Order: sequence, then structure tokens, then C-alpha cells
Amino acid sequence: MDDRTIRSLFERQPEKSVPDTEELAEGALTTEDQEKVRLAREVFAILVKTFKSFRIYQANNELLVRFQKDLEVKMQEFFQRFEDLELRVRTDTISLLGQPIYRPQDLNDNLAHDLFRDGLRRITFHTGLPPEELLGFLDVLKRTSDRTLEQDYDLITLFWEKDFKYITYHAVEELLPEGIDPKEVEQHAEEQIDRITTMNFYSEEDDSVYVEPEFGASVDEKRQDIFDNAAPSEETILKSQLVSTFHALETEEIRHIRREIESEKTEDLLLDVADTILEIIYTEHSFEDFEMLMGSLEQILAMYIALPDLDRAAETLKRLHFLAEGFRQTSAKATAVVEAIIDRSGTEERIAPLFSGLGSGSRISPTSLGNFLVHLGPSSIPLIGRTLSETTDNDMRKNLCDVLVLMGRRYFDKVMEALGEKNERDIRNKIYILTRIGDEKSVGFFRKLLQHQNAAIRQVVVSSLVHFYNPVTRDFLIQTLNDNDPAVRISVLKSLGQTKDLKVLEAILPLVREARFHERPLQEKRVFFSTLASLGGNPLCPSLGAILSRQSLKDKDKDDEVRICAAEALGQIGSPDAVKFLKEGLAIKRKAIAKTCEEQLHLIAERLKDVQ
Amino acid sequence: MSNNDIEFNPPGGFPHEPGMGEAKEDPQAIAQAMQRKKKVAFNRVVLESSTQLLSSVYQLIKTSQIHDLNNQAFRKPLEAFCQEINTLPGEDEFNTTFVEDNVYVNDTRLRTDITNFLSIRNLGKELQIRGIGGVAFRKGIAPDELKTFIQAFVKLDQKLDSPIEALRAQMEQLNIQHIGVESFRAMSEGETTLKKGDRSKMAMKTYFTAISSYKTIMKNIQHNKLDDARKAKKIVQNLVDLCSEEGVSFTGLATIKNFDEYTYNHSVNVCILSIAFGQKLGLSKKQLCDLGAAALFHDIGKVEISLDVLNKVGKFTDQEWAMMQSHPVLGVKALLRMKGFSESTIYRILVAFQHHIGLDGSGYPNRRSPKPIHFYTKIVSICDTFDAMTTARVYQKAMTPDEALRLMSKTVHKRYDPLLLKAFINTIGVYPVGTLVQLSSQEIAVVIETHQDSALMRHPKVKVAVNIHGQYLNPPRVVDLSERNADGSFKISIVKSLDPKDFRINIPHYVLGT
Repeated sequence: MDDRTIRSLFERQPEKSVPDTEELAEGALTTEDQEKVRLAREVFAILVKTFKSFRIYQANNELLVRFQKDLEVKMQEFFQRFEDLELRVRTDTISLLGQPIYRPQDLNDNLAHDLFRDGLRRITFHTGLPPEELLGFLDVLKRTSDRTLEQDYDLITLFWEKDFKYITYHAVEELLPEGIDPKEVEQHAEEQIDRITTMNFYSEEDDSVYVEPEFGASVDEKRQDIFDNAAPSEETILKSQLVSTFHALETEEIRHIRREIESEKTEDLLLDVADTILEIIYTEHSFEDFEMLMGSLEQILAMYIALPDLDRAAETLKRLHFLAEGFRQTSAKATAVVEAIIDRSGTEERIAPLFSGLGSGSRISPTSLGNFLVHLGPSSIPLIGRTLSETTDNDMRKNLCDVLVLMGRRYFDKVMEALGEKNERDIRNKIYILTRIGDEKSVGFFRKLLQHQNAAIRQVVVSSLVHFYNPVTRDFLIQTLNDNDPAVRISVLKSLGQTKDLKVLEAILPLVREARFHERPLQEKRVFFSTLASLGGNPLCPSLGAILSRQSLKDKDKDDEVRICAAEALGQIGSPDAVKFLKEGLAIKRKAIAKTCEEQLHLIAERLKDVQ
Repeated sequence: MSNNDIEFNPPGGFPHEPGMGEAKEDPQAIAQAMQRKKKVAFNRVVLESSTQLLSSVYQLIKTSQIHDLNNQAFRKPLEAFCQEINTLPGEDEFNTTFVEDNVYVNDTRLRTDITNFLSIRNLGKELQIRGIGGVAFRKGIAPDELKTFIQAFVKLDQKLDSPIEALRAQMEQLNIQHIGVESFRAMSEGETTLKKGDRSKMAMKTYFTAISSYKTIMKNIQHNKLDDARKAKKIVQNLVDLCSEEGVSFTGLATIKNFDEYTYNHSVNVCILSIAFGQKLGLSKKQLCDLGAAALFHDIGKVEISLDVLNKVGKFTDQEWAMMQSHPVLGVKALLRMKGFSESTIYRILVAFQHHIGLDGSGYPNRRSPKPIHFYTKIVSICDTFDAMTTARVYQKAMTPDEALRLMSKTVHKRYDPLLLKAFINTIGVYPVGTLVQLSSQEIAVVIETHQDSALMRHPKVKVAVNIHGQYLNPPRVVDLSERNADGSFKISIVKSLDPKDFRINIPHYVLGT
């Protein structure tokens, strides 16, 4: 229960900034009172200092904690010496015993002014004031001074809700709404009260007219019968009454009700409000009302983003997308309104705070952030792109990339534009994103990267290009078989091997036959032959058989490598023709080749066994 | 301690005490007020732990009758209780007084709710049968001293002429210095009437001011003046303060009906019933304020429906019925148009939209994807129906309160949360305040106060309005129907409820008048 003892029924008269008439010369006070005022000034000086820190810092800030402690100590000192601290609030001054203890010059940063403006006139801190109430008091001041109060709040309402036990106050307030005459209200109330207190029954002639009671006047004759019957038994009474079926609440029932009260979360309720608004929108015929309702939905969404409660913000956005989808066929005007709200919710101004504290220790999980961002409109893309470029957190990076992939499918050009290429990490992000978007407009970018100085990048690009496989990209890939880095060439071969495109076979078979093919590293040769095997299959066996059996007089070791690779390719094909050539290979004098043929035959036999 | 202290020391003061500008302040009055506040501040701290302390006293009495007094089951709570008393801040005493259904701690009335009401009531009974009206525990109390007191208390012969005197003698003999007992004294009718008269007047003033304010807010909304949310909140805060002071008897205000301005009266009545119900359920002050505001605005959509439709006597045309059914949607729109959006707005919107939707999904408006009904809506729906059923309209006769409850109980599973309806009946009683009843004595009376004890729900306090000869009594006579004969049977019972119109009885006069 608060201690708002005096509340005006009437409009508050504008308070004039008059000098404190009670202000006394300090000399008029006793020594004890002078000491009291001095200590109160000290208390208030620390209170103001603490309050300023409270406005700026987080609760666990060292400086703030220290100030709070100092304030508690100083207040205790006051309470011990003088008991309660009773203060008077003026337009710009807070005073004790007529002596100002707080009077800053600047009205824009004046606590007294804030308190006075909302109707507070006296405030008392009582002995025993616990730290949590002091903190609550600072919170009230902060919300009042920062003007962050919701529309239906003011300082006095906050005091009322806080329900302080050691802080009491005296306020004047305007309680009546605009457009009402306080005197009329008072008079009307008095008349009504008078009628109730003085008239106890109605006139027989007119229901609405009360008449003065007279002792002994009798009730209507028609109802006299009620007094003629004998009183019924207790049993009869019970049977006819609600009480016969009524029972007191059981403990478990009480617990059940308490659970229902306590399980409630405001955040969920806001989503229920959003759903309520949507229910109305579905049947709304007035465009003006539709816009107003949509405006409320936008407010709810903005609130979730500001909290930040991104899971619920995502839920709200999903509903908006669903709504836009529904309107797409019926009303372009309505669709535009919904889409504009979706887009506005992703503006830099609104979502930038979400990114400012990302990283370890952030209250925003990368998954929640991702799930939210993905539902935003194109206005959010530049900031997401920049954040991706800057983040060093791998989880976040992966999430943002995935977000941009999904957004890129809707807004490709925006995403393409937002992705930087400042460094290799940017480029890798871009490759990852564009590959997964799968838009052919990315090919130019990939082609350009095939010339990148870093082989690792070229290697990744090759793997990506295969996702856009067409005659043009095939040519890019085939050209890359001449890349100066074997790892890149191997990547190309592996990628091409997956295409099953005989044109690729036609392109790479001649390369194998080139004399300089021998110069390629063994690993690359292997991949070349493996690619040939997977693309050419059985029809390629004669060519491979020829390579296996052909003996070069030049570099026998290099020649052996090629022949071994041919044997392995035949083993990979595993057809009867391949077996035939391998069996012939068993007779080759070069031991390593014959041994490879034997191993391949063994592997083919094993595979056959598995199949059977 | 005098009863005056108890009654006229409301912690929040009277909510509608006229405001004092700076010029009007009387230094002496202010000094007194601040002195009073100081005491109140202490009391509020004590009140925090009071329900727990009183429950502990009752448990100690009960445990002492089962266990040996050296048993840990008795010893531990005994020590905890003493420690709690000895560390209470401020004053030296924890003083409990039982006056009728109310319990006061250090002169301040204790609010009970469904979770603590039973043990406190039982403690009151244990004291009362020994002729004790109050117990005071002082700082410095030791476990052994308390144990000795409880031993003497439990063994006290209740058949003695004055058990309390015998107990006092024993306490002196046993050197019990930190516990005091006070005689039981029922409040005299004169005292009750005098105090209730003042309180009622203040309550009615709050009520009529709330109606005027709400009416203006509704009109402002009609004219697109939309910045009254804060004022509306203050109306509700006043009603919450009033309810904290008055308890269930606060619902007596809802017996005031106004035929001409039904919507405004009804909204304030639903607000009052909801706050009283919410308080009984143990909601916090802030929750009560949110609930009350949601209840006040539940029919706000009706502001856009013409009175011709609202007060139509005959059957609605399809168009009119559609218009009536649109008021929840119109209500949401009106609330959304009011400036700002706060937590309170959430409840107002949900309640305005859902209050005609049954628990089974029946009712209106139609929804694409039904959602669970909010807790506050369940409360407001019950209070809304109850007030509507008990109010006469151009197209319907008012039901008596008990008839309304009976009818609501029949449709409970379809329309209302059964548990909450049960809790509602627990709150207002089976014969709610304002019910006109015929007594087994053949007299006709108005229920003016219900007992919180559910066992006495059928035996409220009444004012006899018409004697057995059919003659109106002026002034009416107060009778407590919980009074029993020597054999334990009730002296007078309620036979049935009656329609006040048949007897031309102006119910609020009896409930709220002196």
C-alpha cells in the first residue's frame, strides 16, 4: 500500500515557480538542526552522484556499486543520528527544515524539477531503508528523468506500483480527464450519495423515484403472501440453494490458480496481441483502420527488436510475410503496406543495436539472430553484409552467411552489392553465399576469381563453379586444367568427374595422350585417369588397355606411373573388358605394373563378391 | 490500543481526500500526517511477514497438541518464530488483534488471500474460544518463554467464566514478560455504523468519480481525444486502494446500478468486482491495477454503437446483431488508437477482444486460429456476466445475485473457467452483498457483508428491511446470521432470495447507507 495520502480530484493548477517562502536563515536553526541539514546535503550529494552513474552504467559497474555503497552508508549515518529524512520538493529545490539541500541551476538536469513536475511535494526516507528500495527509488528517478515512461505512467504511478515500504510521499495530482468540470463531478457524486444514504425504497408509482421511508409502511399487498407461509425446514432450504452444490476451494485448486498467474510472460502476451490484431485485419474492410492496425503490429515488432527478443520478433515477421502472401492476390495496396513494415523493421537504425554487442558474452544467440534476420526485408542487407565482413566469431559468420544465402534468393542484387571483397575472408564468404544462392548472375564473379593469385581461392571457386554447370562454365573449368597449381587442377578434375558430361571426356582424353602429361605429379595423373574412368566407363577400356600395354623407351619410371594409373582406372571400371585388359597386364614385365593389375583384379573380385 | 486507531489509520489514506495545493498546507496537519506515515511505514514492513508469523503461531498451537514440546517438529518453528520477532525492524511489538472477520497487525488491517486465509481464521477461532481478542509478542522473546505460553494457552480451561484472566494469572506466575493477551471484544453496532458510514461515503465518492471520469474518457475517445490512458490508470489505482482497505465489502459498490448510463456503471462495476476477485486470488497491486484497467475498458467498443441498438427491447435484426458482436473488435481498435502502448495496454486489448469468447471457443468474435483465453479475461468474463445478469435493462429483469451465480454454474464448463467461478463464489459468497433474502424468521433482509469463512457463506450479515408483519423498518436492524443457538444450530437462516423490485427496496441504501 502506498502512502499517497493526498490526491486531488481536480485539475492541478499550474505551479508557479515561486521562491521557497519557508526558506529560513540557517542561523535561525538550532545547532542540532544545522548539523541535520549539513548531513542531509551530504546524503543528497551522494544520491545525485549515484543517480548520475545509475543513468549511465550497467548495474554491476564498479563505480556505480561503490557510489551505491557510499549512499547506503551515508543514509545509515543520517538515520542513526536523526532518524527519518523528511524532504520538501519545490520547483527547483529540495529542502529540509526550510534549508535547500539540493538546488542546481540547470532546470534541464534538475531532479527537483522532475519530481515537482509530476506532483511530488514531500518525500520521506524512513529509518531502515533497505538497499533494494533505494535501488527501486533510483530506477523511478531514472525512468522519470530519461522520459522513457510509457504513456500511462508518471512518477506517482511508478511510486504507487513500486509499493515502497520505507519511502513515503505526498503528492498532488490531476485525476480527472480532460473535458470534465470537477465541481460538477463533486456535485453529482454528492447527489448520488445523498439519494443512496437517505432513500431506502422506491415509490409505488414510479420505479425511478425514491421516497422517504416511513416506519410502519407496508409492502405491496401482492407480496404479503410471503409472510403467510410457515418457515420451511433447514433441509428444504439447503436443497433449493446454490450452497448445496458449492464447496470451498481445495489447496491444490488454489495452487493451480497461483501457477496460472505466475506462469504468465508479458513477451508471450504481446504475441497474443499481435495475433489478435491479425484476426481483426483478416476481416477489416476499412483501409484507414487497416493501416492503423498495421501500425500497431509494427510497434509490437519494434518492441521485440528493441528488447531484443528476436525469437518473437521472427515469429511476428513470419506472420507479416504470411499476411503479405495472402494479400498478394487481392490487394496490391495492402501488400505494399505490409512489405513496407517488413522492410522498415530491418533498417540500420532499428537493427544496428543488435550487432553492437555481438560476440562472446552476448545475450543474443547467433541462431536466434539468424532466424530473425532471414525474415527481414532488403533494407537490412547492407548492415548484415558489413557485419559479416567484420565478425571474427565463426558461429556468427556461418549464421550470417546462411542468412544472406536465403535473402539472396529474394534480393540477389542487394546481397551481391553488400558483399565485400576487401580480403580473402570476404571473398570466401562471398563464394560460399553465391554458390548456395545458385544464381547464374554470379558466374562472372567466379570467372574473375579463377585468376585470383591465391591457389586456395581458385580451388574453392572451382568447386563452386560446378554448381552452375553449363557449356560456358564447363569451358572455364576445362581451361583451368592448365592452372599452374596441381591442387587446383585436381579440384577441377574431381569436379568435372561428377558431371558425367562426355564433352569433358573429349576435352581431357587428348591431354592424357600428350607427351608432357608425364610431367604431371602422380596424384594428378591418378585423378585424371579416375575422372576418365568415371566419365568414359566401359567404352574407354580399349584406350586404357592401350596405355597399359604401351611401353615408352624414354623415362621408364614416369611411363610406369601412367600405365599404373591406367590399370587403376580399368580396376575402377571393373567391366569384363576391363578384367580382360588387366589379366593381360599380369604378363607385363615391369613388376609394379603387373602387381597393380593383380591388385585391381583382386579388388574387382571382392566387389563382385559383395554384390553377390 | 483503541479501535479508532485500527479503523482510521488506512495506510494509503482515503484516496479521494481533496488535494492540497502548496498554499493550503497546514504545517501542523502535515507534521501529523508525516508522523502517521512513519508509523505506517513500519507497519507495512511488519505486514510483509505478518501472514507468515500468524500462520506460524497457529501451526505451533496445533503441533503442540500432537507432539512433545521438545520434539524438533515443534522446537524448530518455535525458534524460527522468536528469531523473526526479535529481528523485526523498528518498533518493539508485534501486536495482533482480531475484530470480527478482520485481523489487524499493529493497528493496520492485514490483507488475506486464498493462500493464507484459512490458518489465520483458525488462529482467530482458537483465540476467540478462550475469550482472547489479541496477542502481542515483544522483542526479547525467548523460545522457552513462548513454549511455556503455548503450553498454558493450550491447556487453558475454556469453560471458565473468564479464561483470559486465568491465563493472565498463569502468565504472571510463569514470568512470561514478552507476550501479552487482550480480551475479545465484538465491535459494537454503533462503532461499526459510525466508521462504516464515513468509509462508505468515501467509497461512494470514489465510485461516482470513477464513473464520471470513465464516461468522459469514453466521450473523449469518441471525439478522438486520446490521451487519457494515464487518467484511467489513476481511477483504477484509487479503486485498488479502496479495495485494499475495504476487502470484500468493497463489492457492495457494485450494487449501485444505473439504468440510464448502463455501460458506464456496468464498466465500473465489473472493474470493482474484478479487483476484489483479483485481490482474493492474491494478485499484486500492479496486477490488480492492470486487471482493473482491463475490466474498466472491456466494453469500450460499445462507445461506437448507437444507444438505440444497445437498449433495444425487441429482437435484433441481423445487422444490429452483427453490430453488437463487433464491439470487442471496435474495443481493440479504440484501445490501439489511444496514445502509447504499455504492458497495461496488452491486458486491455486481450480482455476487450476475448471477453465474449467462451472457454470452449464459443461466442464471438470469430477467429481463424483460436488462442487460449487470458487469465484476466476469464476473471472479467465472470464479473461481466454476473453484473449484467444482476442489472435490470429495458429488455431484461434483473436476476437476484444467487440466481445469477446458479445459472452461471450451470453453463460453467462451456463458458467459464470452473475453478475461477468457484473462486469467484468463494470471494463474493453464495449470497453476495446486495442480495435481498427472506429469512427463516419470515423477515426480509439485505445481505450487507459476507463472512470469509466458506463454512459461513450461507450465513452472512444482513440488514432486516421488512419485519414479519410486512412493515418497512427504519432504521433497518443488523443481524449476523452466523449466530448460533446453544445446540450449535443457526438462530436464523436464509430461506430464499427475493427480487428487490417486488418490495421496492433500494439495495445500495442498505449496503452502503448508514
